[in-house]
Amino acid sequence: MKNIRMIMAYSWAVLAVPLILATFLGMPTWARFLVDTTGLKVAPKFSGGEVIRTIEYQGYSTRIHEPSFDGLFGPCKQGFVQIDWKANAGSFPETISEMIDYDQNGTVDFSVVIQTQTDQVTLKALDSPVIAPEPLISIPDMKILRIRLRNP
Amino acid sequence: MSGFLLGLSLGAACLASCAPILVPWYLAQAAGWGRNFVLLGLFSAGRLVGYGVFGILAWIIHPVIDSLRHSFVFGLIYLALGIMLIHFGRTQFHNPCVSKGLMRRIPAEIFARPGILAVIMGVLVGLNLCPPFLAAFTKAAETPSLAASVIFFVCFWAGTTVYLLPLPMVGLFRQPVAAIVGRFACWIMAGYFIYQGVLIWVGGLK
Amino acid sequence: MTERGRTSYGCPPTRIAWHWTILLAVPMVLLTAMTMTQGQPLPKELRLLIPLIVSFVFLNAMFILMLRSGRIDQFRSPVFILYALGLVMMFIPNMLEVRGTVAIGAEEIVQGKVPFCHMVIPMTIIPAAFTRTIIFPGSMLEGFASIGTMLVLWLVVSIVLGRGWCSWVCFYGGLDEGFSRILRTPLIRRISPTLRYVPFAVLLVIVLLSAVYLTPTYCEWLCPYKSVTEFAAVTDARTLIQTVIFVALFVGLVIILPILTGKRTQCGLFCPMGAFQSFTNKVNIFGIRIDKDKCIQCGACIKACPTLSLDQTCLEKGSPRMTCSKCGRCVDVCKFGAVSMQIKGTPPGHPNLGRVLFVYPAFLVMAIMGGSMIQQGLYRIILLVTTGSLVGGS
Repeated sequence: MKNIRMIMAYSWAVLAVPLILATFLGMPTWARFLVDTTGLKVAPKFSGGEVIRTIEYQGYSTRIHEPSFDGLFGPCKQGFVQIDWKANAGSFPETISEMIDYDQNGTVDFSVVIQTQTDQVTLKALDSPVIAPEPLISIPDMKILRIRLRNP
Repeated sequence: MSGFLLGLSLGAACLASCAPILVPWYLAQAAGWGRNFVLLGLFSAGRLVGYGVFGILAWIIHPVIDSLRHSFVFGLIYLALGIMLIHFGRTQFHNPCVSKGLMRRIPAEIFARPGILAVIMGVLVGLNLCPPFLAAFTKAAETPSLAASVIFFVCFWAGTTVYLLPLPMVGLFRQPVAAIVGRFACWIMAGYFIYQGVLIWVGGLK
Repeated sequence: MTERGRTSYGCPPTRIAWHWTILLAVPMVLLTAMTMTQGQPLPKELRLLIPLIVSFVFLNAMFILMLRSGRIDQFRSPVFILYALGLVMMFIPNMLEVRGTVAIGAEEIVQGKVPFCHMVIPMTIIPAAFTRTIIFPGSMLEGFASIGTMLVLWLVVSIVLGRGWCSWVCFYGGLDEGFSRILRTPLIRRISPTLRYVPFAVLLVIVLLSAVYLTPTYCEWLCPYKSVTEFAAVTDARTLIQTVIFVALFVGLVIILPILTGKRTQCGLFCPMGAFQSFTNKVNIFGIRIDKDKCIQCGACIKACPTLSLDQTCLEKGSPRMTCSKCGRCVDVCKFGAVSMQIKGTPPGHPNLGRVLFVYPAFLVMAIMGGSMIQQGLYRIILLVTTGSLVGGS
């Protein structure tokens, strides 16, 4: 028994080097395997959540993310919905004006107007769960807006 | 019944709010799980008192409760909780020595007896405006009478307490080392609560 | 395989003969050549070629000396320190080139462009278990230091080295180790042993708070290394307070206290990742063995241990505390050969076998990770000397 234990211990110790090498050489494969098997994703709080709808306009497209009310054990009282505007040809029209139905229930939830030169946002809540917009995030070719929501 | 159901539905958030206080505290006590259940009972009794107070308040002053969220009173509650945790950690390192400094006026028995401390912490936690609590407050404020409001809060308390029941099992890990870790953790949590309290005082940066 | 060595203080009694040393070093030379060149022909530009050759020679020289001398820490430490310095020298200019600032803005967060760091791992476990999400603004698979890559690396290294991670792989640890070696005689010699438990308390608190708020609390509020990598852009009072905390902790725990105590105070007295990593020592095959028959209880190893993982009870028990980061300093300073690297489950009496079997994978990870950092750090220094700027170049 003692000998078996010793052989196993030495074998395990010797295997350490091939294990390290295999890890580094196959890193992209192992990383993908880990992510696929566990189903882990970046929390919506950071990623904005899954894109559930894309609307194409002339010159830009609007992407509506899934509303997020993430809490540890279940949905929270407050959350947000993220809307991205992506310029197709590198620049936006001067004004983006849009009516958003983020929960796709056929009723417009809020209207938003963005002055793309100044990044000024005007949001008008048309449904009670809408609380307020967060500051607009502007990156080349993209405008990102999160709107805080009450969980209905 | 609706209070109990609301407590059950939102109680997981209570676990999230109370675990950072209770787990370090239990570890620092280094008591077994049986004794921890007794302490949880006292802590919950304290919470019940806090909730009862709010049951009355909900009926009387519900229109102004939202403005209270960032008020002096709640900053003070956070600070009190923080100071209690600091002092608790200190008295666990050195035998109760409350005759010193600011603590001179507080009876030594409070810190020497975990039971009393459990009740006080329970009251302070019960007086906090955590998200499930606010939900309960809104509902209670809609009740027709004072008695209904208080009963609603008692039921809400019962629903949320269900989620705290597993916490005393921390006592299964009791070791002198775990107690030291728990005491340090109490201090760090105290720093967090004091920070929250100060932020509320200086203008709601939260 | 061994020959008798000197027995003066600081010299282990065994060392490996030259022919064995060379034979053992050949695979490491080939592996480091392969990983550092990434299978590509040597660069023609001198600014790239010089760092590559210098870091390759440096790493292999350290490894050969480590094998030959029978010492571990003496030749691990310079690599580990330069690895951390290389990270800082590489990271900051790289961020300046990529995004124009070291500050993380909301743009980087929403685009998942923040490199994942192992410090976040303990905080992600509870949220990942309950929500199947990682509470960090990085990318699962794409870009530099993706979450998937770092998780795989951490899992494998934890299985292989346990808390050896903290002295061989962590790209920050070399900073406080470097400062801890500045004074030959520390000014503060007595550190309360109770303070060894602070990292576990920090771990407990940050794990609970991260689970409650679903944000990486330690990264937001307490990580001293934010000061030399990246931190949230100061836009309001909250981010100002956070930045003040980062800088204060860095100055206190990574610079001043290590200089005064000669210990790795951030790693041994604060770091929650180190505390978390200690648990992996329990399931790891490598460890330190103290031979009670050879030990004369002189306490040299206790004094030398940089993470306060040794005390009198450890000498009586024959093994260090679970917080041991396997730096090998205790092995180096024991002049009686009482302390050795062991493979758990094997009989005593083969100190070099245990040492070589541990050092090989440990140095390999450090060389793969640290080699590129040292190389890029050197490149930035050459760039600074030749162009007057750390950014730019090819």
